[in-house]
Amino acid sequence: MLHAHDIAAIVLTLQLAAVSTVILLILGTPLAWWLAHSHNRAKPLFEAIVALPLVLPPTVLGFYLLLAFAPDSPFGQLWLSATGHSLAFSFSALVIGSVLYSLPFVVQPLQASFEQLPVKLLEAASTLGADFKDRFFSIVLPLSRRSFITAASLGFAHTVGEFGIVLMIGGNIPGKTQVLSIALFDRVESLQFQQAHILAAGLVVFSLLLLTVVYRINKPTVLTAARQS
Amino acid sequence: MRLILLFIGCLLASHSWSGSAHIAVAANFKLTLELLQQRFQEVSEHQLIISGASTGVLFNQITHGAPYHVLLAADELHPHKLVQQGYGLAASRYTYALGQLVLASRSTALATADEHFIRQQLSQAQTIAIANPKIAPYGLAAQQSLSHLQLWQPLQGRLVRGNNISQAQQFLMTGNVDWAFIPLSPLLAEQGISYWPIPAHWYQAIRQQAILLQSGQNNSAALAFMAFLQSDDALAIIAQQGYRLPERP
Repeated sequence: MLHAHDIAAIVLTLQLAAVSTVILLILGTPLAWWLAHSHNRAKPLFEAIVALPLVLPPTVLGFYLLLAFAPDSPFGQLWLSATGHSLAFSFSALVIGSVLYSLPFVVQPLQASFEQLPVKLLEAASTLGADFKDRFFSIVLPLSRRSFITAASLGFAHTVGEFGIVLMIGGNIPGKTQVLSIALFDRVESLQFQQAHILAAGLVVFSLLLLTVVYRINKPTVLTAARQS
Repeated sequence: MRLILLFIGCLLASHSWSGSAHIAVAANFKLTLELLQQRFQEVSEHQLIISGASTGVLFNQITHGAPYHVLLAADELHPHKLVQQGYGLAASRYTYALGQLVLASRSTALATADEHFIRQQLSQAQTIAIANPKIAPYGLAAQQSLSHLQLWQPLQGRLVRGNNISQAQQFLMTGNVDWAFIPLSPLLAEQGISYWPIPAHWYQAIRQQAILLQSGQNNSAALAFMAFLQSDDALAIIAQQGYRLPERP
């Protein structure tokens, strides 16, 4: 029923989403923490930068990334000399694109959650001698558990659903950069509606399930607040 | 409220402007069509609206109701299918240009290349851009050429597929690939790109056909454009842009 190319695309998409989500959590957590607690005058600017992918067409990011990834650009050269591989049309390129594009979906729920943490509790823990690591793992993480799950799920789902950037920087290489949304596009464009239906319906069901889980474990208000902030 | 209706009415009216024809054009011919458009709008009072994509994509759009009046395809297969399925007018179908596929490179001088050199270079290339063979006739020609060199299978993981020939070219121009199979025409205006014409017997001839679509049969601008496309004026522009002209009937 599923062609080998489609299966390769599904595996690749899940890999991309998993790697991107892990990186997003690692980068997004300190960023969200800083945004939640900083009184810096430049904070709104950084919040705006994080939110940019929500409003910009993916083609904007795709265009700049395409220029940045070229082997003769400064960034492309740096990557080439550091890794020995050209960045353009590689899995790494897709990861970079996905991390940038899904950043608000991870940072915003975390920031909203961190802002609601009781400061007094953290201060009390501090006076009792808990260091930063203790406070993070004993207080912040348990209290924000739901937001972490939300952030990870949204980051994952959004990466699975990514299309515009990958279309511009991926190069549609089966097994290497042909993710699910591109494989589906390919099927539609070449009039293979049968296979297109399987992929499209699969994505609908998958996304619906994932989002239902997210809404189920969350009080709806938290998620909507996070999306609106 | 009345103002809003009036505004919407104006928008709709400008959309269905009687003196204009909507031309769907294969990506490789878009630049040439823009030159033809300039000339056409000088010699007639009609206007053209141009939409470019790969032939396969345009075909798909037309069979799903896209409001195009004329299709300038990059092959004969899709116009033929449009006639079969009742979207195009059989009598209007004709070959307006013969395409030339080239192998283009940013870094390697190809002026004196031969088959042996090309095969050797391609087998060592990191990435090669082609248009998606499933939807773009020039991509299919690239696939046939690589098959001729017996490199189609070995190069699979290194073939970057553009959604149409413009994207394949754009990958080359931005420096993201060193090699690309593209039509000669859009290269004529570029500096710093070396290219090698692919021998004609490596791929099936690219006979680019034009066809008047059902929606265009009563559109005077579309009819005028189809006539203009066969004028000496237009043929000169097409030839000058790197296409061979079909033998005249």
